[in-house]
Amino acid sequence: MQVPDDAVKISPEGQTLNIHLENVAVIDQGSFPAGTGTTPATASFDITYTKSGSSRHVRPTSHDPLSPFTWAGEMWMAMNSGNFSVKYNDTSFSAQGTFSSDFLPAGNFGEMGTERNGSFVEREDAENDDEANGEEHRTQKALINSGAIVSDPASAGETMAMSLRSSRARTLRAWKSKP
Amino acid sequence: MTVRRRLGYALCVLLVCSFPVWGQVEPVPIPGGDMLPPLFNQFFPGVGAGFDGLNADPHGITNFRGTVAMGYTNGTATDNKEKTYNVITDIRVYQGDYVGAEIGASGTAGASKSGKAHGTFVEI
Repeated sequence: MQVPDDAVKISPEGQTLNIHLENVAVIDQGSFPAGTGTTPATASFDITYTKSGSSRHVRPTSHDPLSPFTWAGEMWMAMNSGNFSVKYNDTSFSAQGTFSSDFLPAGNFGEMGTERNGSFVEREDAENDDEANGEEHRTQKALINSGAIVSDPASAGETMAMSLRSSRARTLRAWKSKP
Repeated sequence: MTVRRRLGYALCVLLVCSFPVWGQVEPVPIPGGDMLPPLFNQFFPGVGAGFDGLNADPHGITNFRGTVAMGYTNGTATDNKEKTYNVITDIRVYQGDYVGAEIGASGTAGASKSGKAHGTFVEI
């Protein structure tokens, strides 16, 4: 569900993220995942996520739109803990409690960071394609203009620079074509 | 995609969009997800049996660019009759820009078109 932006506070250095909501209208469906309950209630909670360790860069490794691996981002492992309360609108039930990812023996999985998925990743792919094609075109044109392809050999430095640009273009295309 | 049965939700409050809508652009669920069944438009990142892998998409919304935080927890709760419960949570927070769906042309049944927006979402 959508909540106000100011319900979330991210620390200046991005190390923690806190979400605080009070008396949010919810429906208690009774069970998960196929609950059929429709009891109106309100919930309040306060949760803080804290990064740990170093980040990992995630790249899309599949072009299958239904795959879990079609996104890009930078993620950190994260701990989180919080408290909550819930109350039926008819006041017949209420409860409150606390929870934490710091669960023995190994702790529960959690992560936080930045993500791009869907069209934001496809757009990057397209931009990489355009960049790669443009780079190769410019390199070919430079080779022709410099005469490297036709007759006069370019200097060693020019040849090296053009080779690097061409190599970069190929690398970008190869990266894009990975399954 | 994995088939998984999730157990142990002593207190299970699933949120439905009864909260006021801040924007006119509706977020679009990710196309994939786990077969629970039926298809649940959500993956379960994590390592080991019953999870979809370390780099499984933690997001429930597609065409999104922003911050995401998620995690599984265990805890306890007490109700108004002093009964105690074990609690398992999977709470995810998303904040950023997205390309969602909005109503396209009038005179249709509500045909969608793309719309850009910024928002904060939570899944409980």
